[in-house]
Amino acid sequence: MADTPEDMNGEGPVDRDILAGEYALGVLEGAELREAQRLNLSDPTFAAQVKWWNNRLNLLAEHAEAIEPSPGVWRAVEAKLSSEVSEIGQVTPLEQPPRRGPAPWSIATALLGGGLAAAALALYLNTPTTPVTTAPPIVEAPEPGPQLVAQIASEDDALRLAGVIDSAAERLSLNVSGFAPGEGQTPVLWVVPEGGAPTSLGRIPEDGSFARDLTPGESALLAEGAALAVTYEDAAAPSYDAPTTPILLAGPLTEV
Amino acid sequence: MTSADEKRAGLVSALENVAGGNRAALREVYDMTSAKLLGVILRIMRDRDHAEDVLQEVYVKVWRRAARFDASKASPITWLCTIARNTAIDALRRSGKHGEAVGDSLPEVEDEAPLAEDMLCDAEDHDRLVRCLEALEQDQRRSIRMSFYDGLTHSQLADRMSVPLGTLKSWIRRGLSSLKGCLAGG
Repeated sequence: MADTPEDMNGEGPVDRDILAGEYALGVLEGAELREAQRLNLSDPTFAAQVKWWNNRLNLLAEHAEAIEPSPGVWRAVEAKLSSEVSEIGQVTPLEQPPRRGPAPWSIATALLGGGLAAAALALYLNTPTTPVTTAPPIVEAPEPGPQLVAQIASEDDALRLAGVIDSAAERLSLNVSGFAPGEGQTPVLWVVPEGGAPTSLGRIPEDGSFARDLTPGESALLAEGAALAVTYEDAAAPSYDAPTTPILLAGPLTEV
Repeated sequence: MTSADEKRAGLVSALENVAGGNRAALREVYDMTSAKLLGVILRIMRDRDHAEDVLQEVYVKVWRRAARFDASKASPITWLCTIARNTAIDALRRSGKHGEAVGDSLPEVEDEAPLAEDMLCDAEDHDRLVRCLEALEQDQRRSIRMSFYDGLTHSQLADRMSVPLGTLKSWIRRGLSSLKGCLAGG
């Protein structure tokens, strides 16, 4: 497999299954670690291999010496859970910067299929806020940049995400359904660049539509070949450095 | 049913109750597993205070993630230990303290199997893993065991074992490959 890391010994590419074992063991570092993180998010086969290894290697824990924790540990766990319970009912506001430009099209249409998604996009691009028949093209208007779409559903179809990225306008639009995070959790969207580590795009709703402007840094990561992924994370975290839970959904971004 | 089987079944049902939001069930899981998990975490962290901070974080994660535990796909103790090891390794690497620990190696964990009635995992699965590890060449077995217990990366292991990085990587990779063949072969 051409895109797996080369063995330092020059023995050729590392078998993905062995890379999964190394990832589960925790020995990877640098580019190999980032590649394994990316695969774990974007490739269900690889993620299943990591689980297979974890289920076996962690049997070794039985050999570790048992050490009684001090009583303060349980008290701290209880205190932490109690503070979370008291927060239930408070809705964490999503970062939703003010909209600019035309209102987003209904990306629910994007859920129906690639052809329709492209058609919806074409329709959108051809129907700005002003009627098509008027006025010649405005010379200063930026050329439309690449449009990227991702349409992802879980195996049982319970979780769905349709995303459209307008690179020129640096804007992300999503339509999501079916997410059901646990207490104190939120769905978090990740971009996984080809060959790179996952980068958080922040919290997203459990259900419904969502749109926001992208920073130039985020826009740069959202390119053809990158993948979008969703995990459940701590809703109270100030930021998300790396996914801490298994991937729920992942799929590639395709240019249309 | 042996007492060990009963204990495992008790742990599975406690985890299922945790998924339903039962705090008392989390305490049951904690009582059954916290000493074992602290042993795993302390071995990686080396520092008791930090290890207990990580242990606390682990049970908060267990509370949040219990709904995703699937007894048909993982044993409760490997599921818990995966969370504990990953949390400890993340904490250690975030703190950037790892290099300091490399010099003062702890004695390697003994191969002796724990008493069957103390085990929380399936004895048959455990025995197969131990048998397959025993079948590996010594360097392969030793590097895999050290990385597991001490949470070391390729280059840290190469330093610890005083071998070139390429040699160490090939021990781990060949070892995992043989282990896979042995485990999959039953």
